[in-house]
Amino acid sequence: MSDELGAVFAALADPTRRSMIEALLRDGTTSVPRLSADLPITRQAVAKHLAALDHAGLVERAPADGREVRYRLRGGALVPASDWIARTQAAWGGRLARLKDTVEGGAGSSD
Amino acid sequence: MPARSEIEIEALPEEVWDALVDGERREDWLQEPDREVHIEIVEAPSRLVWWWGGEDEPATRVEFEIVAAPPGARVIVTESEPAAFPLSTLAASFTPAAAAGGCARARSFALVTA
Repeated sequence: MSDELGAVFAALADPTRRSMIEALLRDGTTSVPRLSADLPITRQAVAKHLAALDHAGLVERAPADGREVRYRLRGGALVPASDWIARTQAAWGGRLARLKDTVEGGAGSSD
Repeated sequence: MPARSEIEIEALPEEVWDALVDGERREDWLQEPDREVHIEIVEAPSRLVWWWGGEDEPATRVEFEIVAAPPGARVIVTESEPAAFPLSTLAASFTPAAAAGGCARARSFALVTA
């Protein structure tokens, strides 16, 4: 598990940033003015959250279109996070099966 | 987005609880000798929370809920997504000084070698 993955989850832990990701999934690209119109926070706060998402590798600047700086999701950015969830759930499936054996008295040690 | 898994066990919640909190028995089924387990919350026999991680891994939080589900028990485990800091940082925040600072959870901290 890399620090990079930790940074992705830390970025996603914030509800405001999650709604930004949702907006990007819905609209493809977005901008600071657009997000601050949609969310109950200031432009400065929007810019700060976007910087956090950028830092975690989740968003990037889209090619310029006029004066406005636009952002989009970085391709594949969420894959490591969903991989972690799948791997972790599979690991717990195995551990809980062994716990069940232990508790129900399946005496034979399962090494 | 935590990872979640659950299982039904034909035993009383108390019997399941013993296999979770007894260090030796836990080793048998957990089989994670390289991860340090830091118990955070102990509410016998229904809720156990620990933090864990490997040496260079960010720490994650693991929560067990044990619910009576006749004729046995249902165990639900939830593992939080990794925090952006390693276990050593987290352990440092669980010092007696931090506990004196009024963090109720920190007071229940105990180090358990897995």
